[in-house]
Amino acid sequence: MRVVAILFLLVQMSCEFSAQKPLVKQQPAERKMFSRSSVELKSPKSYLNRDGKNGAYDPRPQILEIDKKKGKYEFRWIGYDGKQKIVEYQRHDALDAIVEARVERTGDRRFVYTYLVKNLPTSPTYLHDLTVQTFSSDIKDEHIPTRDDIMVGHMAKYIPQFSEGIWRRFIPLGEIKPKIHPGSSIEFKIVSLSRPGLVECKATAGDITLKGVGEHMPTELEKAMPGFDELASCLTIGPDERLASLTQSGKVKYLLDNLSKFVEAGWMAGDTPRIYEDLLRRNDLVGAYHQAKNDLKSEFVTNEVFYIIEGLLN
Amino acid sequence: MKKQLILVFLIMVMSAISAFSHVEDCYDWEVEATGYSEIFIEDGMVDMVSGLAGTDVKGSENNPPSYCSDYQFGAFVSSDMKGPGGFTHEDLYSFNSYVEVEHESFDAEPGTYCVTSEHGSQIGFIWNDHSGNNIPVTTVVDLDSSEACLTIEVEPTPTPTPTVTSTPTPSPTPCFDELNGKVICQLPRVDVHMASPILKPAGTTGGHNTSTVRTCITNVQNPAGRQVQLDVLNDSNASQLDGGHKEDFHIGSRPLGKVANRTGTTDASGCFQTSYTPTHISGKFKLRSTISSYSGTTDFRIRTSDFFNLVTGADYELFGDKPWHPDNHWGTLPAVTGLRQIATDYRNEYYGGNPVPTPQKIYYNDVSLEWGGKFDLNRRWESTNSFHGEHREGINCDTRSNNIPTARWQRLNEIFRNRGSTRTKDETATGAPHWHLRFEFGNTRAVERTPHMFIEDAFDAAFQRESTPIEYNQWFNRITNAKALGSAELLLEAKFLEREIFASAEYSNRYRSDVEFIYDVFWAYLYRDPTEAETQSWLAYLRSLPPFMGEDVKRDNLIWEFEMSPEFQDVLGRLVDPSTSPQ
Repeated sequence: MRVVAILFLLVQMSCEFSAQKPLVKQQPAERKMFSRSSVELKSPKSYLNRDGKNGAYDPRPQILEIDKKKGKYEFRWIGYDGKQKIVEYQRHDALDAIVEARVERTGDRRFVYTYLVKNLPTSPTYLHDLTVQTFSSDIKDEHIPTRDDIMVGHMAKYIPQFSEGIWRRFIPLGEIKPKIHPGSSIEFKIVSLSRPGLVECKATAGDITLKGVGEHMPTELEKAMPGFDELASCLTIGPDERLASLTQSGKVKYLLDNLSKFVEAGWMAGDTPRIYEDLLRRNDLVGAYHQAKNDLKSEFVTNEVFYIIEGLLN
Repeated sequence: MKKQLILVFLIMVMSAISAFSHVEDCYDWEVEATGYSEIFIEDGMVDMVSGLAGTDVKGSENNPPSYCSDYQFGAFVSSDMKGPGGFTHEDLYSFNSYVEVEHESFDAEPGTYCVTSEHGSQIGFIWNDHSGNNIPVTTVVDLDSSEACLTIEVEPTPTPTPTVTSTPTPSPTPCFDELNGKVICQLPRVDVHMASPILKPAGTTGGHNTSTVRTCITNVQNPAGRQVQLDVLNDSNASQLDGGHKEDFHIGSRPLGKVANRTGTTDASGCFQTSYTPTHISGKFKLRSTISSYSGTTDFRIRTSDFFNLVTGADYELFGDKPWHPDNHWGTLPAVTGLRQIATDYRNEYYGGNPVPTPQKIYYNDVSLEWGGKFDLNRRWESTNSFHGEHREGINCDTRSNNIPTARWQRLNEIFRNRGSTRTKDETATGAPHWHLRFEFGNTRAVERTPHMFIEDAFDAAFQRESTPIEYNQWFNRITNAKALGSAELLLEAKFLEREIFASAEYSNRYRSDVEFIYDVFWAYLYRDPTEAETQSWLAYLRSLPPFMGEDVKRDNLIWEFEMSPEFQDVLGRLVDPSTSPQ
């Protein structure tokens, strides 16, 4: 009888194990680059004349795309002195970059989040900053005086694109540190008591200011400039204290709801999501954790997936 | 000044007048004077008619809605003028020279009535109602002559005509109430309606940059084919701060905007429609419609949506104000909040908890004027895109750079960005070194309102005026207290406020049409324009209610629907805490 039971268990485990293996050999998970915005820059269709020294004149405001790949434009108009004025404009989303996050636990039960941003060699310009969304009461919307070569700030909550959670912004100070040009990378850290959850992040390409030319551009040109909706965007993991209060079924639902986003971020390879979906449909969070542990080794999932599941389990 | 003095004088005179004839009909009238004369008509088409000695002058007012069967009229003469050689203009400025006032009443049958003065003095014709209340003086004849005459003509008695359109319905005039044995006079009336009485200044985005204008004449026999003239009048007070401009410090006249067709003729229903496009300058304006010498006006404003005033703060300095633009730091709520936070962050970055030495504080120059629109830097109402082409929408601020050590510039620019300035323009290398901040977030700009804005928007929508201090304090306390208690309490108080406003005599005295009422309710409750479909839908709703309901009850029903709407509750849900806002 005992032998039969053991045999039964072995058969069952074998079946389960085979269900957890990908059916075909698949490529490792590969993080997706920051996505670019859909914002378009277009010359104003209508505009007002200007009052110049010799009366009203046509300022002819226009936006010219100089280099599509690099996201470079010129804002042109005729100035009060009759000469053409040009302000160079660099799209903020013109970036080929990826962000990798890892999480470590400290002795005092804090989570140390490390973000490695790689500005890929194909990137058109340098990485100006990275902004990460957080949901933790130990991260506040306060200015933190700069102590090293990375300035840390928080985006104001009244900016619609940053209204959910607290968005911490990291800026390598060009005055001290070399810019993060294509082919180079940089790390930023967040320490929090909150476990990791799926969050959004945004990055800025190139200079944040425009070089003035001694007179303001026509208001119609200024209105044609995008706002914060132009940034490069990404998904990563960050402190999320809301996860601590989830029930077992809430945790499972959280993972099920976000599987598609894990795929979108390139954190899961091939048909890996199906395996997790099967496990989670059976409420097997522990199984999902072990699966993630194995998949991380075989690179079928990235750190981010593993840390989220591990965080939910503890 | 002269006119004002005359008016004061007349008020004194009118109090002494008691005997008036009762008039039982509606009249056109005309005043004529001989000699050196000036005729002032305060409320009609003619502001002043002047004539030199020996010249006859004539003034008339044919649209006196008050002068009908319910009103009486009389005349007065100020006589026995003192002063060398009789009347002089200087005498007008010395009331003591009027030692005696005589008055005379008229039998107000149609005809011509002349008043003679031996010494050359002032003759006036005034009107009052049955209760003895003086109504605004409409004409003054200022004479250095011996005679002024008033000619009264009865409007031709019309015969009832078939109604061509449903709105507005002309009715016969005069009409006789057989039941009470009285003549009820339906006066000729001109209404002018702007679909959007609050318009965005030209050169700004969002909201309405043009409005449909519709004017109709009613209570006349033949409404069709009448000549229409539309005039835009500046209703801003020169010495006050209207829209952010002090007019008496400006050069030239405030631009008025453009009516697409200033003249035309009425259609079969007595109406004429065109459009109005605002100027780039904010302010208060009136649109006057004159149809066959009858006229009516409507008020409208050119302004952006609510701005907040950046008040003085410990960490920054404000400058750039001028007598013609004394308040130059009005901006959107995020911009104003951001500017305050920028200064605080800058202090924290470089001075910790210590105060910033004044020379090194953040110095903020122009943001926008109170009602936005063109910031006419040269106070010439300069149009188009001249200097300060931006600064119209409360999202820009010029921040001085030459008092900030250059080693701090990069971090300060990062602080600008953290607090909302996208694409700050670096003008530090120019003749006026500064950073041009730009609080433009993109397509999803936040809409937050404070209790202050909620209250003022309700008053503005219903009465086209601000609340009085008493009204404001009462409602501000009620709304903020209710907000602190919870959403149900807030909804209740908000309903009370809106209901009180729309049930008031002040509102009913505005005689708003159904379309106008719907427009007012949308702005008071939802802070937005209705779409055309919504207007039609709510009109249909009003018409669908049973006839036995009075108009007031029907409108009450509509208001109830708005109170229950999710959108109104969403508006209330987004009211921000007043303590977080500058006002």
